[in-house]
Amino acid sequence: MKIVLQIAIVFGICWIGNILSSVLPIPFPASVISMILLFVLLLIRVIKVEHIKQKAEFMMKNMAIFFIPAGVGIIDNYGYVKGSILPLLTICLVSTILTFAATAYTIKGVLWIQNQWKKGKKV
Amino acid sequence: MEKGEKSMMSQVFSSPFFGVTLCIATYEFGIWCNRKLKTPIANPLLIAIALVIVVLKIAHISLEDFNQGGDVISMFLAPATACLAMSIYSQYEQLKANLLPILIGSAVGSAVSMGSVYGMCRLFCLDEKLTISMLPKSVTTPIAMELVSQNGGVVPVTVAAVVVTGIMGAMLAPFLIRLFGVHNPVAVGVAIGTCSHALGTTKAVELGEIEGAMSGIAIGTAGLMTVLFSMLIS
Repeated sequence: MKIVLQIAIVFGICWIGNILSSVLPIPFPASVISMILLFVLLLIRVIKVEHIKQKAEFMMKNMAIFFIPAGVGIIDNYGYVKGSILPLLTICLVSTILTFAATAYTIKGVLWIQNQWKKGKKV
Repeated sequence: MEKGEKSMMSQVFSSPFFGVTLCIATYEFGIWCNRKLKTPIANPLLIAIALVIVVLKIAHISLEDFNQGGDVISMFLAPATACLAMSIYSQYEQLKANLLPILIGSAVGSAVSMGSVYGMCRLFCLDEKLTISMLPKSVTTPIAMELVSQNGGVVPVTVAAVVVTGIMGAMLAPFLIRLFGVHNPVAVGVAIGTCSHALGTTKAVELGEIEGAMSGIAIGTAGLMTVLFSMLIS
């Protein structure tokens, strides 16, 4: 499909996501609504992968560029975090390790229970 | 006279084209550095952010002028997040086959991430605004940013924390796999994606096809879980 149309489809979904987000009584990120919306539309085949393929691949490949301005905003907040850099780095490190362990062991547990259950069914 | 000069400088740099060009040029330079140095510490995004800050400081360009172009770039965050749906959809078979482990794993992982961040913020006596900014730091940047701005945190702090976490995840993943003795590719993949989003996923892809796919799915599911949990808290 033509690239301009692919852009229009993705932007259109984001626009609807924005509208839904402002209508919802609870704060729910508009971009996540758009993500769920697009996933559902793909599932029910209203939108096919080839309708957005090149556009989506372009967005994913260059995603990091879109965060640059938000990151640069740190210069206006540097004074605020200056004193807390070490604690902040420690938090990043420790919680990354804890999250990894918790997720991995949970999945191991769930897979084990699923296996036992399957075995039990066979017997 | 000086004032007139300043406003002329401002006119030059407040063109949206300046900010956009600067972002893309510094990012491309970051990618080049990353390729040369071959280490996750040389993260293109961090290099680009640092370079833009250096340019703005040296040339005395205000953040406001830069953001004329910066806002144009930021506008693409939402569509980029939406496009995550396509990468999850392309792993649909894998998702269906391991639905329960993926959902429960990323839910527990996200809860532990947010819980441990909250606990440590209390421990280090950080104020509430910083705590809010740190809470979603394990999920992908656009989701974390939107959550933090909705809850009244400091978005740039979040961006920095998310990127640093991602780099740590990508660097530590092989070591953590050995340390915790986890070898199931589903468990490894979801764990990497849940603790270090897209940056960790680049490492998971190197580890294997299933690991990469699982990590990619976990970017979306962990993001979703984190959104749900922060709604419950607030």
